[in-house]
Amino acid sequence: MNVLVNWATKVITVPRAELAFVSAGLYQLDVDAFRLALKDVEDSADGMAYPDTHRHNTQVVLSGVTYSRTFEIINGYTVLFEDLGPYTVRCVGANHNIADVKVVNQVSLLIGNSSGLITVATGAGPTAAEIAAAVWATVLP
Amino acid sequence: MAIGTDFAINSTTKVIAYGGAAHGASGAGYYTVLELHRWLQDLADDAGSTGDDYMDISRLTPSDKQFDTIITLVNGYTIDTAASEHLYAGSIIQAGGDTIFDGIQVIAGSGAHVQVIQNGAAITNDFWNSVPFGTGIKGLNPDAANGIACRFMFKVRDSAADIDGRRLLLQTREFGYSYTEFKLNGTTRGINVAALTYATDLNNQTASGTVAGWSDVTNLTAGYNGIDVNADSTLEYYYAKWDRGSRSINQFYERMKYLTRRGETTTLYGLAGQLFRGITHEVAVTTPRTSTIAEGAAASWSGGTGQVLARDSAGTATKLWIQLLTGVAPTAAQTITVGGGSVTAAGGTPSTERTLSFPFCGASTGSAIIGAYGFALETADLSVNDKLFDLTNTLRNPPNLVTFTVSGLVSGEDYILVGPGNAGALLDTQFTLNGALTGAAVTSVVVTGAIPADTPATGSIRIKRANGAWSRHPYSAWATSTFTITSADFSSNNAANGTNAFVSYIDVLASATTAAFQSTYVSDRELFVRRRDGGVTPTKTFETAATLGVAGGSVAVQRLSDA
Repeated sequence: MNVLVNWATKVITVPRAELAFVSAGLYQLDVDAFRLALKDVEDSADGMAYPDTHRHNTQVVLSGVTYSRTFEIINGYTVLFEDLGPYTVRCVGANHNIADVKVVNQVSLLIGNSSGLITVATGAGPTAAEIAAAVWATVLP
Repeated sequence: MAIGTDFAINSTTKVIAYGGAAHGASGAGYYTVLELHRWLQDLADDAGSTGDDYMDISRLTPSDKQFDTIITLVNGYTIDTAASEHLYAGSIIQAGGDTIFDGIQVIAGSGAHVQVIQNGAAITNDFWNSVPFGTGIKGLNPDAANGIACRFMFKVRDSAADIDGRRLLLQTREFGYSYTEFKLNGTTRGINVAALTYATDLNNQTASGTVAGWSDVTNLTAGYNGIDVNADSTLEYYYAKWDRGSRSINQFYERMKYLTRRGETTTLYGLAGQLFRGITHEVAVTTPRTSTIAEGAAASWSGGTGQVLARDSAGTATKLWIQLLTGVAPTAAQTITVGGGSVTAAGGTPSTERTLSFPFCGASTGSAIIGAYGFALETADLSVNDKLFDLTNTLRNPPNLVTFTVSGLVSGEDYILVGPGNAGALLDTQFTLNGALTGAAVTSVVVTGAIPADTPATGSIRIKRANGAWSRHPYSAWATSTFTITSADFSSNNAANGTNAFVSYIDVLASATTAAFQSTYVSDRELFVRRRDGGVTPTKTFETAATLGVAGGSVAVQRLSDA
């Protein structure tokens, strides 16, 4: 997978051609492949002068259950999906924060994150309705 | 044995010959010149000759004594070569003064092997180094209680001509021991004392056979060459530039001793190693000059010969640096012939005698070298504790070259960047450009302010381009505020005046398990180290602050899987 990084603007561009075609208007982003593509750019002569683009924790197996890897864009980088008109990108393969750093354009994002046991700093945690509302708000730009 | 048993006088030839046991054999006899004279005089007053000693009252007086140490054989009586080797403690003059043997007394440690260089050649019949029977210690006629290693006579005049002005050079060059020499600038009648040092050299304890294999020690430049030893951007000139290869500085010193030890015939500057001494004289020269002057070539002039070790120009030389071999150094306006060319000694006193070191490279402290006049190693082989003297005889101290090393790398996978650091982060504002870079073939990058003195002589810099990218540019030199870079195209995506740049001390894809840079230490410098591997077996980025200190520095990277 090939991605482009504009180091001056810190914009990571994902060409639509690098996404897997699913059906009309729907493409799929393998987040782990995206991560590895970024690592390959970071360790180039050009990338070495810049801070990391992301943080990654690999998947963990506990009691026979594989907990997914996490992928977090950091250090002010943003992600721009190539705008060739409206289409949707479905993210698979990792929990991530791409939605938080996505450049707003005509491309929609299906986050695909999954939270099991989470840690809440205070209170009893969100209600089901609050969770649903948060997801709905995130999917739709 | 009695002198009368060992010596015989021929009635016809009047030769006083030695016929006793040979050097080192039991019974070999050695006598002072006074004892010879006493014996001759004792025979001369006898009524008649006895045995093989044809001397009595009827014959002409055989000898005359001026002093106890100066005996003249008269009336045609002479000693032969063998006889001269068994006499000491004075001079024998014979043949009306046409032949002279002068006394030599060597003050040195017991057992010293003494070489005598006469007329530019090492004397091969070194009988004085013989081991007297039953002693096990070389050196004829020693007096250990008085520090005398040997005493002998040596022919300095023959056929009515002084041999090289009766000049002798005595030296000790035993590997593992101190090297010294003593110059007799014209022996005198009687006893000529030569003081040498013969002691264990604690900085030369490697076996000779081992040092013999250190052929990676080479002289990169045998002749006049400029080296900026003290890194002040100004060349100083030397007559050599040695590469010590993989050897320590003290091992290099041992190799230099090996190349000039007794018996070494491999040449340095055209001279057999055992005869090589270094520069003895600096000679000012002028016109008329013809052809070019070759280095490592033989030179001759009226009254002397030498070997040219360096000259400041092939075709327009104004100075020669020579090793004097015979005679005296050139005097005013003499024509000096060198190979196929010639040059003229300057007026006044053109020759300046220079102090020699023994061995020729200088002294070793064990961890540093104090160089001989005009001797040098390449700068990469010098440390801050070494001292060199250039051809102006000025002391030059190398800078404190320190090395920073990054280890734990995987060749072909890890990219390593070491840049200036500030509070744990990369200091990418180290420089600002003084002038925009917009040309298609830019080779010069000027920054505002002085480039720090601890910047490596060669390396790479990063320059921020208009699109925000930091392009990498190797540089081959820097001076004051200017880097000389490999030609680069800035005609598009150019670098504006005032944009930032920084030195990337290490900026490579690893080709070994370590990567390093060398620079001159000025003061502690914070560095930033970043290692990445985003390949088939990716690892997490490793970043750390580090310090380039007075002893250099190092970092061992971590490689945590990021699969």
